[in-house]
Amino acid sequence: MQGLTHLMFHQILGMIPNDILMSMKEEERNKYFERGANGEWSIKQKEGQPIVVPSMNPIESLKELFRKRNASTEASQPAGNYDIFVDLVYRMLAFRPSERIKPHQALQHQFIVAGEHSSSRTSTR
Amino acid sequence: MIEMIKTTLVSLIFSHDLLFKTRSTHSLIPSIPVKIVRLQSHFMYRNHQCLVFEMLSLNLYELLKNTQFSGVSLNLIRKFAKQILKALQYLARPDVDVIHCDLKPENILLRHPKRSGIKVIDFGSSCLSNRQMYQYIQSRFYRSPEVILQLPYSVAIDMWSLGCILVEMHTGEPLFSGSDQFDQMQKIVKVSKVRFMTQLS
Repeated sequence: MQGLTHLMFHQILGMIPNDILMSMKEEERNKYFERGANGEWSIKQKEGQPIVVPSMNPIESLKELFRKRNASTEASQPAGNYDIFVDLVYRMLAFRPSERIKPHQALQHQFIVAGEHSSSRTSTR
Repeated sequence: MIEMIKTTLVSLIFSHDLLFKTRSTHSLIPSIPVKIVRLQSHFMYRNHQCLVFEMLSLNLYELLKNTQFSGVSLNLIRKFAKQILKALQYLARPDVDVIHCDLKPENILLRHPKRSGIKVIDFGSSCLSNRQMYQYIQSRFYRSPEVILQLPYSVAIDMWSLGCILVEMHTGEPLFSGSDQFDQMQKIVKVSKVRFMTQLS
């Protein structure tokens, strides 16, 4: 179990893809990242601050944000809605600009399209 | 109707309305985008260029504030998202090709306080994607990784901002509220995308 956690930790620190890191100016790269003894890049930590551990599962992290929000409000959404909402947001937050969802694709995403026929139904619920 | 007056020396160059005039040929005038603020007139006053825009209502930050920062429903977010995407779709058109560069809740305004219609405003930092002026662009919370890391950027930076905005509209809090550029990058890394993780989940 601990071995697994350790492994995940290293993999996730490499989360800004290497090709992006390599395309940066060295000076810029060194502001944010550092290279460990094993040759792998990781994000620098701030002295005296809690260690930043990159998210193990970004989709879950995003959903967690909404769970916290809903715990404090009465309005709970059907679970399916969250899944497709998080899916869209996740595609908008792709690190590689070329992989980020395009406006015309997003307009066809299930989250956007889903409301088109159901808006009158949801408002009366 | 005419209410909001903004003085600026440079932003007129990039105001979308003027882009229309400069970029479109006489025979081909693109349809005016509904979701982008309309410039109604402009004039010089004591050496300041003044722009007169249509009158609009609350911005999305003020709307959030009105909810005591508890956020708005997914249904409302869907309505906002669709309209902002249409604005971005227009800006990304090859014959327009403009990067907004400062998309944030403060720059998305309701047309009417009780309705969901919105407009995207403030093209004061915008640029044509092939004529980039600045490296320090976008408000920090909504700044894309490629801008933070000083890499080449494109219209895709506005989509990053939109992703941040949509989450904030629902949770009531900025998704990545970095206190400086470095902190911003740390906060992004904590939540952001890892390709192989998709396979695990």
